[in-house]
Amino acid sequence: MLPNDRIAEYCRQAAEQIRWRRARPAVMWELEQHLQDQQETYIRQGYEQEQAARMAIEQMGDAREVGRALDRAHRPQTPWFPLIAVIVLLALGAALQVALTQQMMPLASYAVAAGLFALGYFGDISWLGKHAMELYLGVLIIAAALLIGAEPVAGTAVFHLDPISLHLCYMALLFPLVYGLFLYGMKGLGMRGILFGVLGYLPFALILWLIPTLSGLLIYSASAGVMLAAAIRKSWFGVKLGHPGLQIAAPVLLPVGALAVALLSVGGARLQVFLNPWQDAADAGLIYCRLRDVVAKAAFWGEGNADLSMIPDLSENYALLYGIQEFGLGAFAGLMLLVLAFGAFCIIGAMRQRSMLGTLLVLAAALTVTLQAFVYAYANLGYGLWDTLSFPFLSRGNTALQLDALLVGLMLGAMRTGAWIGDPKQPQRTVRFLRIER
Amino acid sequence: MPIEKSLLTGSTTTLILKLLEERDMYGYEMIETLAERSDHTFDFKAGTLYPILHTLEKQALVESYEERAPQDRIRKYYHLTEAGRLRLQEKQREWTSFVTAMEKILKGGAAHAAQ
Repeated sequence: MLPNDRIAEYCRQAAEQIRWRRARPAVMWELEQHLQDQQETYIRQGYEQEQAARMAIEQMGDAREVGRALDRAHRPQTPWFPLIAVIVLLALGAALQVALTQQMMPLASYAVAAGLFALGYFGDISWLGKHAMELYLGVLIIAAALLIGAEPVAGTAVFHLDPISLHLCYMALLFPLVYGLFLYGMKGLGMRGILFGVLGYLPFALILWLIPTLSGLLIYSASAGVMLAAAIRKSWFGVKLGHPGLQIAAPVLLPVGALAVALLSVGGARLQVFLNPWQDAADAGLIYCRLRDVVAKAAFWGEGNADLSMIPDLSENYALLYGIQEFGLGAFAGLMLLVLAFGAFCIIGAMRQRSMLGTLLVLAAALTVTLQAFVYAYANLGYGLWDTLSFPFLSRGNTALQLDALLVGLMLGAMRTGAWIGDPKQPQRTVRFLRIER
Repeated sequence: MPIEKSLLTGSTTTLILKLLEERDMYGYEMIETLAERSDHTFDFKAGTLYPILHTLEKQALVESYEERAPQDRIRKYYHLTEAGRLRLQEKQREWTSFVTAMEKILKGGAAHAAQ
């Protein structure tokens, strides 16, 4: 056996002991580098290449023992709290939809959603990083094409292709993730990277404004702002902005700008109705009055006294209101606290990710679903100023359900394996930048 | 003088963190430096080093990055994080109090026997 083959065989034997297969290549590479260094030292001391390889291997220790010790260090960590929260929400959602629609059909959608969740959870998220820019451009082109081919239905763009009917507003759930991948592609570009980061945000914001989905625009913009801030803070672009004001200027600009656009789009008349719906209770303020009336008649625990028959699209737009009426405001508050804890847990988890890819993926998904839940909740309480995008996993909306399941699956997958996801090998220039900043 | 293996167990992490406090290093460099500075008292099997390094990385006490070495070989360097620095200080305090207590007992034992 050639000396190099002997070293390769040793590394293979050690790596075979690691049960988590995805961790093996990086470990093998590192052990091989070490053995080659040790072998070169022995050769410099006057040993033959063959003898030097043997001695280097002996110095490393028994391959199986080393492998078993590495196996203990390389175990995926199951993120139990968010995982159980998602499973509970999926089960609750399926039960709620069966109760609201009096049909078993929603169960099929939930089965598909569970499949997509598993795909994200067990899939290789590093693939997304390898194809970051292609995915950004691909989704942008598809989204623009769908928008061009869509028709306005009840004030929002819907794309029809029998038997499929796609409400384009739900694309807002995917855009933060794709924007995160765009930022991932801007590594080491310095100030240009930050500038591109702002410019790369704009096309999707424009699409959402044209659909129009103001909730989607706000969710996307807030998520994009936080991701940009995280990328700047972690020196992803290879520059360090000294002044804290500069660090948050660009990230704050995105959601604030979007909020200004959203408020201008809503208009003064709608704002007046929102603030005082009783002044026009028979027309524009009707739905606000009905919703607030249901909430006012709700019990803290248990069934309330309101009549839900006057609320349209209960299973789709007001599933939480049904929950408030049936189980009380206390149950609603408990659910929202669970969502808040879920979001906070995942955002903290995002900042602890070893790789920037993990950080951006977890942030994108955690912010999207958390904001989506709160926008929906405000609307259900009678304080929604714009459209809603379903409550994650609970309210009816097949596209949203599938996208949320995939997003959360990817997020929990990243949290499970994130400790060992590495960003790609760095070009020399970028590495130097990063080291200087440490 | 060879050291009993059990004496080293538990101290290896402190030694690694201490090395990285000075500068970033790759695995082979750590083994060499430890052997050299301890006059070969700490001649670790390299295979014991990587599981410890990977566990420290998982605990966010160290982080790694890859850099091209002069011979055009890419190496994986380890860097001590702020959390690692704090853990090192804690470990050093622990070690100092352990050594002080041991010395008291050992010296006290000799003094007692002489009386």
